[in-house]
Amino acid sequence: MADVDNAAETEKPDGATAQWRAFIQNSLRVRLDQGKFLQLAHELTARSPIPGLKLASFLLGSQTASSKIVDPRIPIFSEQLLEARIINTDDILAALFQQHSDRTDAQKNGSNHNGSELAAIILEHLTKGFVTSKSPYTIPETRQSLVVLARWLESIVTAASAGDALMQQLEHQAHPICDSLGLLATAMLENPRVVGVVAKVISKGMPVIC
Amino acid sequence: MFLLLFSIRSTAWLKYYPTEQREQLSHALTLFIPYWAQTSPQHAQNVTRLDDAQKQQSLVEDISKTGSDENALDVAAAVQVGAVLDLPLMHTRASLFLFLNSLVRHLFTLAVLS
Repeated sequence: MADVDNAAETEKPDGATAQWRAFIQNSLRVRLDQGKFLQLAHELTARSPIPGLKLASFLLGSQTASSKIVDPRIPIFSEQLLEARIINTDDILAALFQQHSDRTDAQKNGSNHNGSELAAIILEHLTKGFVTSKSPYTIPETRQSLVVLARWLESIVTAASAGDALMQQLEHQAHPICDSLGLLATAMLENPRVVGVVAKVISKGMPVIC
Repeated sequence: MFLLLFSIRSTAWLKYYPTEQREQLSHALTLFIPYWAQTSPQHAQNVTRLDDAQKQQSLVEDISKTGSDENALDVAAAVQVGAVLDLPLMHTRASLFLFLNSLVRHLFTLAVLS
């Protein structure tokens, strides 16, 4: 607990990135309480703001360095950061997509990771957010989420149709992600806010100033 | 000058193109839905829901462009421009008239240019 407090309280010379990285690592290491984690995250956000995508990458990337079992604190922390609006849906989705691509590249070298299981859990949480209309909050968040979703869907089909023997071996690991992404896409396209964005925002022929 | 600089600076903000995003999303869904239906038969109901949502929001990929290109290629292949036969010269009154007409036109053009 003291380590986490120190990580959040002390100012380090290399800026917000190192502070947030230490905060995430120490929070997972000492299995910090959810309420305390959220309180310290708010304090650290006010003191050293960081882009949501970077924070989501820190949090989700800490799984690969740990054991073969998914740390249950990671999805809990991500859900808390999402509900507190410290990170957005598109940040988590983009970080997951990036790590999923990297994990596939890493598995070519024979390393063993359980990123698919973590991704499936996180995607399930995101799906619940869209089903219950907790997400999304803003139009840019919705738009970026749709961009990442489209790229991920396309990459899955492209990788499967490439006919690579390695991908055939990993097919049983790709199916949970495929199902999770399909459920997420269904939930997103049935979400009233996403439907509104699709109908009004991305239907115009002219570029939008953002 | 100010307007030029303003227009150049303002174009830096135009980084979002809705039509491209819509096409990208439509393309991804059009690819993914049949793949998902094939790989996960247990999710047939969800595949149907996603398919219905795609059609309700008109996120179906427009294949008219690719279709027109294919039609153009088919027409070009059917014409077979490179397979025109060389017919032998026929000495008729009409061919003589055409030959003299083209010859006179050619000589007249040379005379004008010189």
